[in-house]
Amino acid sequence: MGSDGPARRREIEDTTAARLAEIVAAAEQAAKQVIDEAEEEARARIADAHEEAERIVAARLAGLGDLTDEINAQAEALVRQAEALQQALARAKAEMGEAGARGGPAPIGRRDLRPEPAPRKAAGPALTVVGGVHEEPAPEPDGRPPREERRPREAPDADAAPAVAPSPDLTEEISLGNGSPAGARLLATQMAVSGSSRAEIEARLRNGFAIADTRAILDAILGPES
Amino acid sequence: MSAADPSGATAVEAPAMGLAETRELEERYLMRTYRRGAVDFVRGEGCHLYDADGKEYLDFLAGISVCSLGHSHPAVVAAVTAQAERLMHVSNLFYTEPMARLARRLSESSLGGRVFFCNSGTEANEAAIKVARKHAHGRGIEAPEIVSFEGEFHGRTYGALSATPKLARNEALGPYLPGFLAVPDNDAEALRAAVGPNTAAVLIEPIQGESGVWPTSEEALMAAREACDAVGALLIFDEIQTGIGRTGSLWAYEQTPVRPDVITSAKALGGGMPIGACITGPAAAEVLEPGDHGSTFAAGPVATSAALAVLDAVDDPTLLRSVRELGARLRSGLEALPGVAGTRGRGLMVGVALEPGIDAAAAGADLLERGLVVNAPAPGTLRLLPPLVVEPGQIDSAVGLIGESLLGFTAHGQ
Repeated sequence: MGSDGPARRREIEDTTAARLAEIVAAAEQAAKQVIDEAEEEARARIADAHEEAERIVAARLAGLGDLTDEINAQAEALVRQAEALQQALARAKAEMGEAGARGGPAPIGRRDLRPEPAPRKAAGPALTVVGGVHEEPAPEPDGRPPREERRPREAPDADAAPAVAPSPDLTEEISLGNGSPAGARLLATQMAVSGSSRAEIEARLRNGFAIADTRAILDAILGPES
Repeated sequence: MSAADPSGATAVEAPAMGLAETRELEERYLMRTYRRGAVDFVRGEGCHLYDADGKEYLDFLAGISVCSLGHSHPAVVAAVTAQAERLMHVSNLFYTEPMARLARRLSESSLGGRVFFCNSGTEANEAAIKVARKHAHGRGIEAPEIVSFEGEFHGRTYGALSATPKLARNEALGPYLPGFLAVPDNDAEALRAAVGPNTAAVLIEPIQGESGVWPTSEEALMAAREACDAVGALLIFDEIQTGIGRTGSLWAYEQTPVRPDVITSAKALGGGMPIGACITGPAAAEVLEPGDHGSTFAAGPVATSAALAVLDAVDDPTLLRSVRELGARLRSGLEALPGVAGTRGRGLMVGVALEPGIDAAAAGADLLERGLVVNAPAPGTLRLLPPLVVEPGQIDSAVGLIGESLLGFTAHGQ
């Protein structure tokens, strides 16, 4: 090795260091550029997503507004129908009262083919507080002993001892004493859902509600008879 | 006597004592809360029961409307056996599939809300009373009241008994719970008057069973619905006897002009296994919360599996139509008999009003001698609750036996 060897080595080292510094700087610059570009792209995508979300929300809100308007309209229609129904009921009630005052036909719904059931109402006060001290039972109108005296106190072989001795002449279930269209419709709907036939539902409507023409209700629920 | 088989299982002990010895044991060891019919049943199959002497009985009581599919129905037996071999009990601290499936089935077949399970009808009504009272407290009512009709029977635990105005009452068992009112049966006006701002619920049997099969009038049911709606109270139907197909629809309310907020079920629900349920509609579905109510045995996998098998069989339009048709056949046959003043009820839940002077208890005992099982819930009334799978010929046989028996009690036959 010559006398200029150390100087040459320092020169090479300096040159190499300078080049390395340039490479690192270039790499850092490149990395920064990549990061900047990525951040820019992310910002752009977020902005797009926000824009899309706002568009969807706006569309949904508009749809909900339409639905709300529709529901409000339906509710108002229902209210109007209910009011009309109430007025019709009031009119029917008034007409029934007039008919009764004139000695007209029996209230709607009473069966006329079978004997009237014996009254099951207690002879005592209408309202009994259960659990308190019992009042002495009032005698039955027919002079029979009070119901409490017509039964054994102990339970025999069933779930409960009979405290009330039903009148033996009661032979038929009690039928409806008024004709409620809403009740009739619900009865018919529930019977249809539970599998009752058209004829069975019609019989209940005729007997229980005294509806002479049951076709409208039956057609509405079961569809027109084929 | 028990005998162990090689598998380690213990054979079911065969009845060997006979009526006299069984009665002797009862006299010595059981509390005297029942007066039983003089027969010792040892086996049942379909609509028939057999006593220790092998005598056959036609069962028109079905364990008070419990064995609605008849005795030892194969599907129920299979469900119970399979579940008992797999898992019998874990408590309500854990999930079990049959419980969840049964709850869905009951809810979807009725009011669409939630279900609380228990072990009997009276417990189901206790749950309903809790629901009603808590629902009322949620509406700011401090002293909630529950209104019912006088002839109803809701059970023998104190809440249910307090809601039972007359039947099974004994003041020596008092005091009963406060907060229960009663009005005369079918008195719509009295009911409207009784329902007020403190009313938590109106609790009604759509057909009163224990007092002698008395259908509640549609007018009274509608009055109850309207009165409850007016004050925000709950309408509860006790369907313990009327439910599970007994009246010809899965639930009796389906044949009425109202829809209740809560129904209670038991008896036939388990096909002979003890189970009860309180089923709500949406209005009361969220009332009970953790800690409000509970039961160790309720909704056990065996009982709920049995109930699922029962519903598979009963919730069938063909069977329910048959119930309605056979009920009409039964009532028609009975109404033609001397000694019968009339019939009441719906489907295969039939009360037979006897002519004055005929003691229903004596007639019931005579019928038992003749091989027909019925009961006499009131002095002038026989109650018939045959299995829903009863056949037309068995209906005719029962009518024939009742006719023969009543001949002995009427002036014509004496």
